[in-house]
Amino acid sequence: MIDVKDLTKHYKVHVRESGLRAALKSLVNRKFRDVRAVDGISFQIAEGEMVGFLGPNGAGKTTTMKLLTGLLHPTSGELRVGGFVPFKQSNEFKRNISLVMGQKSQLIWDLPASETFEVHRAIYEIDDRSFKKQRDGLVELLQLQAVIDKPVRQLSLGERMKCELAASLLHQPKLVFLDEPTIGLDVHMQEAVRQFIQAYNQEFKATILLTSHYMTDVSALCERVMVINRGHLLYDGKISELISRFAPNKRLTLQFAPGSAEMQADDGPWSTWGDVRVVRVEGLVVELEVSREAMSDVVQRVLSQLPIQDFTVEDPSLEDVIGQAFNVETSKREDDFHFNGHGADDGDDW
Amino acid sequence: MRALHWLWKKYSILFTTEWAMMLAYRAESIIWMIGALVQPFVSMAIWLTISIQAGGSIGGYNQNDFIVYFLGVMVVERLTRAWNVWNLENDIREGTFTPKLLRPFNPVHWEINQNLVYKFFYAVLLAPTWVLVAWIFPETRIQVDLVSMGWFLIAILISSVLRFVICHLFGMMSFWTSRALSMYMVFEMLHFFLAGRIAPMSLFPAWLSEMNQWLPFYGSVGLPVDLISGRLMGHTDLIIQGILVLTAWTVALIGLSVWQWRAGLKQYGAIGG
Repeated sequence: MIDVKDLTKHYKVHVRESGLRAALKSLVNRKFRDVRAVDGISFQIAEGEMVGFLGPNGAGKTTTMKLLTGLLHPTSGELRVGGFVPFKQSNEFKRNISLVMGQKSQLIWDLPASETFEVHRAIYEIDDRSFKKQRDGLVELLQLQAVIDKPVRQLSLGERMKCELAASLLHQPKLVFLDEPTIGLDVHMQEAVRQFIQAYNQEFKATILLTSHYMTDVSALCERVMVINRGHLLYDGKISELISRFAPNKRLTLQFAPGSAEMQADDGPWSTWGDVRVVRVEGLVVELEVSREAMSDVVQRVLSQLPIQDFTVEDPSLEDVIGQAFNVETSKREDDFHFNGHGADDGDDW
Repeated sequence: MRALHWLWKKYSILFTTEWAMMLAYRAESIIWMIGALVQPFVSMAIWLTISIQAGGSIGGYNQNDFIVYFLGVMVVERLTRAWNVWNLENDIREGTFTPKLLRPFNPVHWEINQNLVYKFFYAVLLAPTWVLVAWIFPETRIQVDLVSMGWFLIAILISSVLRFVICHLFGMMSFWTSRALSMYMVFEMLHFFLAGRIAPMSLFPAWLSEMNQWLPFYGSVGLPVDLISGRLMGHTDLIIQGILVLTAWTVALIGLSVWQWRAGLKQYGAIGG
């Protein structure tokens, strides 16, 4: 469905310092710098797949989305989406895709969302029967009955986002790009939107590419994730593999029984247990980092040797894993820098 | 046939939507219209004073002619004007152009419909107003034959397209620069003088009027006003020349806008999400 090879997008950005003097100077001597927003990424996404796209601000996620939807012309590389070259802007291509941006509304601000639905019905050439069926289905699924006839400007952020989703999916796109669809929503609303996305993917076998700052969105919806930073693809694969690759350890938290002697980080019995590291000791609570291989052995020892009241074993949060992935990448790049004597990436974040 | 059916549906819904949006801002729309009538009134008052001081007539225009001329300017100016440069510049700068570009219908159709809505609104207000004024004040009555009226409508139609395309061209400059609106304002100043909005063409120096026959300015306002005021009755050669020049500019600039659109999209940065 999506085929990307060595895709790059470089911008030229006008730079000047603040102040009147700099403003006057820039009139005669304009300075530009190159920004490598996307720098040679390659991947493929199959039909019906739901993929999470992760990365910090300025990593290149949104730029990649814009390239995939044809909003931007790539600087170089090959790009085919649903058999189309996106930047050729063919109407047939546009009828098959949808881009939902949490921070950019496509609804007509002064009119009720139902008016935008009508506009989409005509623009996407949806016949009356399909339109009615799809609209009613979406209104019910997203519980929009009470809001679609209110002017958009009077809606809450969550209500508006749900209307955005409905408007974007009226034409039943085969490919949906969701850029931060849950941004600014409360936990309950985030969950509702997640369930809806999952239902849409299952019902229409749609291919979905999702970016989000909320790891819960991605871990709840996508088996596969792509991690991007500074325009480079750092990881592309299953979430579970991402965790075992960048976070080979688990967290073991021990709650000692009241009355137990307070533990000290260095002289606990775990100092002789091998592959165990103390993360935190606070009163009767001790947090250990244990390799996955050693975990069952350590748990047995804990249960047989220590006066504990409770214990938990957890995977590190996805945020931690991503952070770890970025650290690994950064130190690798710094090594390249020292070895080669020049920066591995002259670009800036975008 | 199917494509035409859908085009009609798209235009119907966009027109209805833009009409609803215009009504949401109806007070603002009326203020805009009244504001736009002030300048021709001021010009009319100045030229009336000058013609009185000059002994009743100047450059072939007596007081009555000036009144009819500037009433014509008011109507033609309202019916041919475009403002899509503001919308386009704002959309591109703010990034609100992105959702429009993602839909399988060129964003220019939104602008066309908005333009039609406002023109319809102004026509509905202005035409009966002129009829009422002409009934009360005989000097504001126009005496033209049906042929001139037909030419007038053709000129209004082509001028509307031309002024829309010019606005669109300036608006699309926002793909490259953040100064598109300033550049358009320079053009507007030229248009203000050369289109006959400040004075009839015959009051300009001969060399300027002669040159202006071949530029896109006179045809867009001066020509329709001369047609409706009866100045060009019996001058079929001048009418045809004016219409041909207007059409030639329109066709050439539409061609340029198609090229600029394609080049602009390559440049589009889809700012701000």
